[in-house]
Amino acid sequence: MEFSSILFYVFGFCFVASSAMLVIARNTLKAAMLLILSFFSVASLWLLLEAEFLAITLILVYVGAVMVLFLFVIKMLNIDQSTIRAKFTTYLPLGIFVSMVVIAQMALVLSAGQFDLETVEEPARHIAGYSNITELASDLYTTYVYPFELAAVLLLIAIISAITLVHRKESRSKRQNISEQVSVQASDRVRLASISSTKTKKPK
Amino acid sequence: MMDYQFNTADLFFALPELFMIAAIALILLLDLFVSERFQNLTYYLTQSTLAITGYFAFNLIGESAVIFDGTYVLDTIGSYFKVFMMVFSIVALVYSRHYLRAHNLLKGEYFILSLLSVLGMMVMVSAHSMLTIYLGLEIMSLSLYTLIAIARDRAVAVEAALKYFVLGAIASGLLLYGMSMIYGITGSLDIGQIAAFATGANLNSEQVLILNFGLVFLVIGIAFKFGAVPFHMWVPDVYQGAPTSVTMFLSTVPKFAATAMLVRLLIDGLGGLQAYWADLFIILAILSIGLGSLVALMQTNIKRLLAYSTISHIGFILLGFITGVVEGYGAATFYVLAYVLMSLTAFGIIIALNKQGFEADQIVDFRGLSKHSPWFALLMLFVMLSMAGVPPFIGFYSKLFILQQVVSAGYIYLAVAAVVFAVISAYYYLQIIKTMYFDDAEKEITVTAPLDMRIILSINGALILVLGLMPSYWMELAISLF
Amino acid sequence: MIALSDYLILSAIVFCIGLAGIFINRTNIIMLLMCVELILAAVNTNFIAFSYYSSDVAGQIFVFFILTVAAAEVAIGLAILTLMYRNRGSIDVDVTNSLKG
Repeated sequence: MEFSSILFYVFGFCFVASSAMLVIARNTLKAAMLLILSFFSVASLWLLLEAEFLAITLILVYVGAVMVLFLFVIKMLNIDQSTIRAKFTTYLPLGIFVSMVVIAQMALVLSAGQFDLETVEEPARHIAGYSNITELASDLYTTYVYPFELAAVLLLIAIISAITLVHRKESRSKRQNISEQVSVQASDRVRLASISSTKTKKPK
Repeated sequence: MMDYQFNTADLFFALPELFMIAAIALILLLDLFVSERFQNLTYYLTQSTLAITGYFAFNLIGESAVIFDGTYVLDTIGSYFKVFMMVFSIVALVYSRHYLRAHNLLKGEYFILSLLSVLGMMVMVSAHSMLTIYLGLEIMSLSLYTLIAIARDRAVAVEAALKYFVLGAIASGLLLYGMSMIYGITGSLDIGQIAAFATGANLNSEQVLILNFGLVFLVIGIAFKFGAVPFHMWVPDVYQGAPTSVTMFLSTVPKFAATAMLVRLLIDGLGGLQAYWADLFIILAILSIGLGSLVALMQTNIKRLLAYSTISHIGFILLGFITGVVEGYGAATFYVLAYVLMSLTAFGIIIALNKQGFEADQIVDFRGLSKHSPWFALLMLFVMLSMAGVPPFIGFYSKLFILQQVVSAGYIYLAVAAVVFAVISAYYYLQIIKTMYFDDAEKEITVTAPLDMRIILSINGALILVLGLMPSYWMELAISLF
Repeated sequence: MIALSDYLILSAIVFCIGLAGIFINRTNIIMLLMCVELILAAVNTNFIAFSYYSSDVAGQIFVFFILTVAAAEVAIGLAILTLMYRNRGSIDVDVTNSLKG
């Protein structure tokens, strides 16, 4: 067995195992950690497929930014575990059974002979000086310039949406308003009340 | 790619999209700096952007080109769809403004996000690569999720947005899985090259198997975007929960985009496999018509009722694509046009009855409408009769054309089933008419719509009748698009 | 030697695990979002494997865009989730059941 084949099986096993543990994890925080593990294993698989740039992007963007966002929300929102656990077990056996059947069917279709080594040979590895980023970039900024611009629009939507939905005016925060403090008049703060000293109400 | 050539003159063909992107950026900036007093500025700029984009698209009718290295296509169907989308968006925004004012939602972001979602739809309509279809779809969907949740303090709206978001993300995942299979077997993302592969004579059975495998996932993704049964779970909830103006927008303009996505992927791309996807569509169509007609009978909320009615209309649209002939595709496109016109009027009337803090979204709210506002009751009568398929309204001809094509394609049992369900569904449309004309009002109904909305709503409603008097012109136009 | 079909079957397994996860975690929105990420990881692996075995860079480009879209999607999804929490005090929603109220 070749070394790269061993790597494939090791990382493939990690990918499947961490994914499987993720979906049955009862603790959301644990699930997020397992998702990070499965991202690392799939990034390693992508390295085997010579997609270096995407593998690194997955780690940097996903583990570095998206998963941090997930963890942030998980910690910020206090998620009640009890209701989740109650529903969880009822669907588990059926879920496992259905997915086993579907996996078997998909595997049958995919191994039907169209994608085996006789039909699709493994390409020769790239030479030492090959740069995956150069190849991707030269396509991205020429052939795919229109989708690239559209991706910019998408990110704009993400910004607008996140601000529109979550941003609130600082009505709750207690900030100083300097100009208001400086221009304050005595009449704003002090009220002179004339209370007669003779009449007093007796407390019951 | 050393042989890459960028031709600046090509940019002319993408003028509608490019103009819209530029205008969105400009409006976004202006909206930040104008004071509260000029709040209408964003609205008027949005409307003029839509109008100018529509004008550019109109001028490009008849031209055809594939530019940006095959990621963008300009053709007749694309240009016509864009013009229709712009016109209906303008109408939808006129109605929306009245609603937003009454419910304190009038914000610049609403119009900007509407523009962005229309941009996404235009990208889908003009896509010539699976990549651009996907990006357009996501631009449209992400903006729509936010539009639904823009009523931040309304728990139902936020819940509806969340539901739509989660189910939409799952559907995108399935669609992408299908796309990856199609890419794997054909070796290209380009619709033209996929078509060349799929219509090739020397496909072996394994290649056909993989193509069909991918096709199933594509059909699921498309069915979800249309809201066809059994991928309709989001439709009633989102229609009911979203602010009515967003529901109106959601139920009208994106239907053109969904149709375009179907045309690009399944007809332009995998037209060679029509026999296979038609089988899947038969199931989707008949389930949609059936469920849409039956469940609507039990609804008391008019937005929810219209959601189920939409599902059954979607079934009819999908029936047109089963036939596999140009006339059938044309009939389906004509149906989309008719449906959007009717749906826009129906939601327009619901919005016209809105008041500060009150939504006329229960059927009982329409009691005695004929006495308080005979004109709007008459318009609603037009819509309901048209949706039920009564001649001479446009809804009758759209159903007729579809059924003619279905029968001539040999699916007589489908046509019979569709007619039976259409008759059942007539019951709840007539129920609304009865409520409006024969029940007494419990409370005062006032039509609060401003003049511009009344005028456009009246034209909109009248068109249901007027277009019904000359359907053949529009039908021929629809056929000529394919 | 690893065949293309091995990669495809691997990603099909993870794809199904993701779908099953959606099915069994119906009420926990954060788990649902993570399952969607799994599905996308499977799809991306598909694209990259096809791209590698056919020596065509288009598949990798597609993955680049899927990553971009998914990041934007997560940002919006979590924003809606936060709103939900503010309104209701919990984030349990059964997405397959109908809306009440």
